[in-house]
Amino acid sequence: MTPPQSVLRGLTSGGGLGLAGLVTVVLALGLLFLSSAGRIDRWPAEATSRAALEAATPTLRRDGFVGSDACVACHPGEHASWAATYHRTMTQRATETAVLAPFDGRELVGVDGVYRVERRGEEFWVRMVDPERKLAAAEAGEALSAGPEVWRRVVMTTGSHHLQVYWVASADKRRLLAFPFSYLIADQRWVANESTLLRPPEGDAVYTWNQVCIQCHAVSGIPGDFDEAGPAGASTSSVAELGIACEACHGPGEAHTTRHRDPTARYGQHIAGGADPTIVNPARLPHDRASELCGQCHSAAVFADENAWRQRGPSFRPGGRLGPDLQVVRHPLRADQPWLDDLLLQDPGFVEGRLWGDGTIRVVGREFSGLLESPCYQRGELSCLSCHQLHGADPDDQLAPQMDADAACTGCHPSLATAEAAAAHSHHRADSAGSRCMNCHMPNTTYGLLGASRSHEIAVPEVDAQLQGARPNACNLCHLDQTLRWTAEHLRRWYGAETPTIEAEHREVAAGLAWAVAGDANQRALIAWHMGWEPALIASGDRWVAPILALLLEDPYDAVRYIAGSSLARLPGYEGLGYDYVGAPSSRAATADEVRRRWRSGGDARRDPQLLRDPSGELRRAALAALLADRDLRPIDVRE
Amino acid sequence: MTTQSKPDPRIRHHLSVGWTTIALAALFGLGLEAMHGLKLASYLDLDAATRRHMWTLAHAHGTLLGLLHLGVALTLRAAPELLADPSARLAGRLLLAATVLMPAGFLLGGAWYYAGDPGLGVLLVPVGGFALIAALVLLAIASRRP
Repeated sequence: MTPPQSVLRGLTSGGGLGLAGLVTVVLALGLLFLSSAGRIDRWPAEATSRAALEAATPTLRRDGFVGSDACVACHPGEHASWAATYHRTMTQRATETAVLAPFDGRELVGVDGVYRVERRGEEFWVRMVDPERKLAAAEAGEALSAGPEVWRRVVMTTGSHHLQVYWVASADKRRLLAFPFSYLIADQRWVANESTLLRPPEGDAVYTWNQVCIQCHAVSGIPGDFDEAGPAGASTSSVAELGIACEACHGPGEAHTTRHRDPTARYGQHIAGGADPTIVNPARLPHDRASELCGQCHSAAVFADENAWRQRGPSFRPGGRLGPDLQVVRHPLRADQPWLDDLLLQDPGFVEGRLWGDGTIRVVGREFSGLLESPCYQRGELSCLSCHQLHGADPDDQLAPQMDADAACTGCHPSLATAEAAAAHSHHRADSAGSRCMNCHMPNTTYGLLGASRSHEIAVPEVDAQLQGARPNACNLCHLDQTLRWTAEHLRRWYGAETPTIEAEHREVAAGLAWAVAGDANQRALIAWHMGWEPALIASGDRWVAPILALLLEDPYDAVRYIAGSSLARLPGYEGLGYDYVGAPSSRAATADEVRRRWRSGGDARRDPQLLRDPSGELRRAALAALLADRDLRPIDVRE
Repeated sequence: MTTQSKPDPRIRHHLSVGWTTIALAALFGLGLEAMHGLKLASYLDLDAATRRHMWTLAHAHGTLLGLLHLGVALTLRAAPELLADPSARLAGRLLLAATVLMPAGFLLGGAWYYAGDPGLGVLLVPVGGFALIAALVLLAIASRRP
């Protein structure tokens, strides 16, 4: 008899007693394992917690949509490359994989109280000033003041690239309200939401996800009656999927997945080739339709019928025209849009918050609005997909290979492909930043996410002689140390551009300095960013900018201070300043003094009069004060 | 000293096909492992999941069908009366067809494939599958005969 047989026989020989004993031992071991893993206690609690999270966040809808999970079986590569993008993680339920900030019990000091963030098991909780009360006060036109504190569970997050915003469920209505602090991912720090925006320093605001964010941070969002009273923690808003997923670009997938469950249909499509009528492939669309698809979110636009959108969601579908559903707002200088008057009555800052005075877009994330105004789009066949690819590219900017260089342009402009031709065209050394197509034709004049990024309106550099409200020109964003007159003269000489009338002060003062000191908050933010941008520092020098950045360290706008601090930190000799852009004014002033001290001892040899230097190299204080007194103080509220 | 009679040519045929198939499958398996080792994108990328799946199946089916031939050879040696049975004879031919068609179908289905679907070569697989099942059923029936 083999040992196993003997064991079995022994166990069963006692009238089943042994077998019962074996079963008992196995069960006991199983229970011990589960208990030690803590799973018995946690399962019901986890399920309840998850259910509460799902109930508080927008309902997932399936009216023609199937969700990205339905795509993975047939398109695993595309699914994986999408999953690696920041599009996917734009909106997530607040799970431990989604939340990036430390909820470690720390306290955060806000304008109206002390907030607290903490973690309870797998849940994230915040103690905050009652947001409903703040909203009620705002709706009644009263000033926001300190109110009762409440604990709320964080149920959703926005963003995963630059910063992350946290949302809590409203207690009396079915909407999601922003926790007043965001997490800056690169800096690994909590800051007030208002300190992440280029807005007048006016304190606080309560943001509602269902009202605005749902339009683009989810697939086919329907706001619903979120501002009506309802059970706490129950959302009436619905989405096809949280985040920007497959069906945002390819359209609803139900017809496609249903048809392609049939293998004969699949092989018929494989063999026949060509477009599949059940799904949209943006790469097969004409350039305007493909771009409009991106423009559903990446444009300054309003719904033609906002009430219809709130109740039924967007009627735009990929492959269609934006027009019937969304109206892209262009500057009144550029297009006659009669409906714009009504919009401006409701929101007087709509245009100014999104467009520069010349009509170019000023805010990041509205790239289609810029493309729309570009000759390459209007008269050519440029589309978003000419340069960007949504699958397999670097998630940072999702550019196709080589599309961060001149190849993006020389594909259609082959006569400028050689180094000699580029140098002859740009009048700059072929290997210099001045010969890079994008530096002249797509300068970094859009603001957002505490930085500058490229304008997507592909345009010819020109000097706008007005200092107030003007978009900084491409030339002076590198040649920060030169005047507008200098630039206008070069453009006249090289390209025959007309020279505008330039006011006296801008004939004498370097444009970068003038914008940084006397410009509006958007100009100051852009110049502060360019004072840390390598091509600009190579072209205009890096020593002279420190005292100007020191001035911006004390700017009234948080965002300008943040950017100035970041640019200074990149300058040699200004490491370890320990600058806190939302720190006490006295500490900011002390840092600015320290910067000036280091600059004076650093041996800056510049004596250029346009940099307001006296013969000793010191700044001419009176001239600087006069420029400062002339600062454009109009409130700037860039609508990100 | 005893003399052994030479085995029937059909037994030798199954032995030969079986060991050859196993050798080829092992060689192919070595190739698959090499592709893992060399991190070949054309085999390991997510887009190549269909290819990886098909070729893994080709390797597995080749090995198992080779073993089946060895099993048939042993069966014929243990029950020599089956050598004269027409059903068993037909089963041998069907098994040979399955041994060619199934691994080849998976191989071709992975060599040229569509997004999420194997190439048309995979159509050889169900043909081979039916041949295999028929062979097994015929062998079972033949084995039951007294």
